[in-house]
Amino acid sequence: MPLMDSLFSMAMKMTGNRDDACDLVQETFLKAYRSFDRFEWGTNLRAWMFKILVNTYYNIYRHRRIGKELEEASGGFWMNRELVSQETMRAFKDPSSSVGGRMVSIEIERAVHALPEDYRTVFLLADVQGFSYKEVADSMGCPIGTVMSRLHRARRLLQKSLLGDGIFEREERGEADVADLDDFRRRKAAGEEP
Amino acid sequence: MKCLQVQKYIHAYLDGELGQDTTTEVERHLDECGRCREQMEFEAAFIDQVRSGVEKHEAPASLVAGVRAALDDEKKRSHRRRSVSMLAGFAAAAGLVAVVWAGLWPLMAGRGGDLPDIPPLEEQVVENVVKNPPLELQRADASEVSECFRGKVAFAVEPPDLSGGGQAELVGARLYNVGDSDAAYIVYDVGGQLVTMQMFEAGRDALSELPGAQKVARLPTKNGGYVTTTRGYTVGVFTSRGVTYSLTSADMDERAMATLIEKMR
Repeated sequence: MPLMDSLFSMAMKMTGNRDDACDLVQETFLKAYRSFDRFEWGTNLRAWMFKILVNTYYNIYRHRRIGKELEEASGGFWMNRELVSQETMRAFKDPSSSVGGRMVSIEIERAVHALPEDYRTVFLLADVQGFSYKEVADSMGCPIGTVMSRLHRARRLLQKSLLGDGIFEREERGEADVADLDDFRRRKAAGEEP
Repeated sequence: MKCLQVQKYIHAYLDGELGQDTTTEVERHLDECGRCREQMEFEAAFIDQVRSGVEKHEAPASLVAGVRAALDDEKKRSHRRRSVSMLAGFAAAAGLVAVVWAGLWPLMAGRGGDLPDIPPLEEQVVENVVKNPPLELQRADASEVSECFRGKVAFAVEPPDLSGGGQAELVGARLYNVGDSDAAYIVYDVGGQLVTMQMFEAGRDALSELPGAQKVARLPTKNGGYVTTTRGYTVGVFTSRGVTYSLTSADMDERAMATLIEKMR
């Protein structure tokens, strides 16, 4: 039952525990059943079921718009290419390096769980479930542009928590291409050469 | 295109979500800029690793059984109610189950064939009117009604003027639901005839029709909507600027309803 499994996977990531995930999936099926007359034939049934799941989750947990204030903040951070150093990037693509191998499943799970809720939902729908931006926008009731920026930011945050922090710890502070924005400001305030 | 712009578009580019023109521009930049190209390769590898590293879960057997039992329950309950609308949902749900989950099909056996001639939207709005919910706001003017829905529904509620040259006044309003959508439920007195308007955000499926729905006679209106009769109520429906308007009245005939919505401002 691939649809049931993927709905359950999504519910597990959203609720963080098995009991709530089961309740959420069950409620999703009931709602789908009751409102099936509103399903438009010829459209994507899988996307429709996920939309119900996401809406049900937000209705139950009342977390809607949690990520909103985050979006306005620290604009520079999201576009900062050097969040991850060039060395890390190169090492990451090199299969013989230990950097890629460091991203074990448990760390990924932790990093995904730590994402702000709306970012996490977009990431799960787009990257894990493979929905298009339009389908994600439809599920979350937001414009496509918002999906695009949330997904971009979700991935940046994942990079920061999976690669950034660890790598920054180990690298020389003065290295030119290691530029974390907060770190930059801190050092600038301290009068050091950033 | 400059590096900074490419940074902005890099994920949408990798996801194949950019338009043709922007894609071409990004690619032109990537051909020329080694750093951005390196970045792009890294991003692709990163996304790929994270995607495959996220744990997948298999639905537990207890959940499968739970859903089956819940749907079975729902089926029995709707049997008892014998409500026409539930039957509509029912037959449709059999379709859902057939598509989604072949394992549930026996539960719905024999119900997948004929859809009743009940248009879902009209049925829902009439159902609401039959329930006759108490009005939260009474004897208000249009701006008060507008104000009371601010922040409660996803669109600006401006109660249309139904006078069309004659007399019409607002009786009251409340927040209600049409299906899963929040709706502004507004009651008018139009020259002594009660008319209930339900306004809600037009979904892609708001005016969609199941095959059976087309068997119902519908009188088209000049503004792209239609008028029909359901359970003794005259219902007019049309969509304008992303909002679906439905008007329901037990007092008005189809012709009068069509004129009313054509003259609406």
